[in-house]
Amino acid sequence: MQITTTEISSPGMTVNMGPQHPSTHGVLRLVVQLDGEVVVNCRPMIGYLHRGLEKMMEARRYVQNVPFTDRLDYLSSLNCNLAISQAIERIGGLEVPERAQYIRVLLCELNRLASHLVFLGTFATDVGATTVFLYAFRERELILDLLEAMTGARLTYNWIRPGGVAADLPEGFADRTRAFLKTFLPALNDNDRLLTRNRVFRARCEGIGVIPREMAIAYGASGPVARGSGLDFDIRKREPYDVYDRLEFDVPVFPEGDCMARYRVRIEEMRQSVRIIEQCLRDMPDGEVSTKLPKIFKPPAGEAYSRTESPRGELSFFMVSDGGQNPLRVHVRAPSFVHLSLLPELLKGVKVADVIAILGSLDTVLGEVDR
Amino acid sequence: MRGDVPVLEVPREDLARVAERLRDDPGLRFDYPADLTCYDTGTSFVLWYRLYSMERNRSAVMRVTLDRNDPWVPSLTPVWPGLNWHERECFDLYGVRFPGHPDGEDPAVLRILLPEDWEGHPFRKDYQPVFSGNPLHGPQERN
Repeated sequence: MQITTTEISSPGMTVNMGPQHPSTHGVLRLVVQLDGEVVVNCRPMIGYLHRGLEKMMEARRYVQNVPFTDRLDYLSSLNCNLAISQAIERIGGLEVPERAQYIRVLLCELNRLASHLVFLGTFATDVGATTVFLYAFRERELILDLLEAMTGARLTYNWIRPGGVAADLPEGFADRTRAFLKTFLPALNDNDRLLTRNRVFRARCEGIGVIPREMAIAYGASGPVARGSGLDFDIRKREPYDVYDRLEFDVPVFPEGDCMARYRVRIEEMRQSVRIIEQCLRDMPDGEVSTKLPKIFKPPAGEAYSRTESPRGELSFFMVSDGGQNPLRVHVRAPSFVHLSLLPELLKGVKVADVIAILGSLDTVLGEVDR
Repeated sequence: MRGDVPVLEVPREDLARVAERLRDDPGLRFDYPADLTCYDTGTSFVLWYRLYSMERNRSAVMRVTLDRNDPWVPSLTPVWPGLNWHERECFDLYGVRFPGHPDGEDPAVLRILLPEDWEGHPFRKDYQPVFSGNPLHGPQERN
């Protein structure tokens, strides 16, 4: 019998992923053009969560804008609080007491742990390892308990304010945090063992969604996405703010640029965050936790920006003052927004199932994409 | 600008040339497009580019002041691909046009945060919302 092969041409298919698809982590819509199982083209559609926060900020006093930032990257609100507070401090020339700087770093790193644990859980679920989700959220719950004891809130903390933090640490906070860290590292190692050398997980991640180093630079990638592409780029080291220059920690960098590298950067980062938190608890001096802001806060006319390392990457606020009580303009440079713009380039030629893995490995939060 | 970041005031005509120089000159090497945004002073638009050099660990800012009646600058997406969405956002919210942008000049394609059939550019200081009556398309009158 003779076997003949015939070229079958298909007109292709356009698939709408989202905005309600659970694996898009929020309200993101991907219009994906397929040829069989292979992605030919992809266009991310964003804006479903656009609330015009930047415009709303123009109608309010500088300090009144801090609670808005909780709603940007809602998995790490404290990091957003810090970024806007820093911009307000720069434009108004405010100093932050040393103890407040330590508390800020401590809170931000706790929040980074909580945020990376969500990544760990959801990313594992995305590629089919559903067990990890429960373990990751069990640990996250303990961090949220700590932050709740501190701020009274579980998600929208509004605790880091221009000039410092809202109040000092509650009684027994240091001991509770130390007790938590003791149980956290073994738990992280367990999760790590579940995944990092898991053959199925590795097959889904290694060599998938490779971002070359040059592409990461040209597209403005930052945070774990940049460090997963071999870039030694961490704002906490390059332009240290608060007390990061006094703390000892390493910046994990993996050169492969694939989903696995981004995953491993975040796992290592959690270990470094634990180190930072321990040092903060050890070195924190006594003293004031905030500078008093003038009742009528009118920064001189001009521009200022802050640069911070949020769990997702470079989060910076740009502010323009015209000398009045309200800002003339506030702009948020959101890392997730930039990382989503990598998608069309990244998804060309990959299989549909890998779309989910690649999107998950970028760890975007739509709150800060749409603002 | 507070701090020690150099600010370049660039006229629109020189923007593309200056951008390439900033990226390619071995002494400058601003290869990382950190941010782009726009603001409305009431009399003009200001485009604010923030650049960063990965190897030199230095930042620089480019400012372009534009006439409110005819705001456009050449697209710098060919120079820094990362500016693609930032330029779309500036068009969406302020109506600044970017000839040479890979998505062309069709507003329905360029709009990024707002619905594709939105009218006007809401971040302008003189923006007056158009009430369409359709809750899915455009702002609603307050009761």
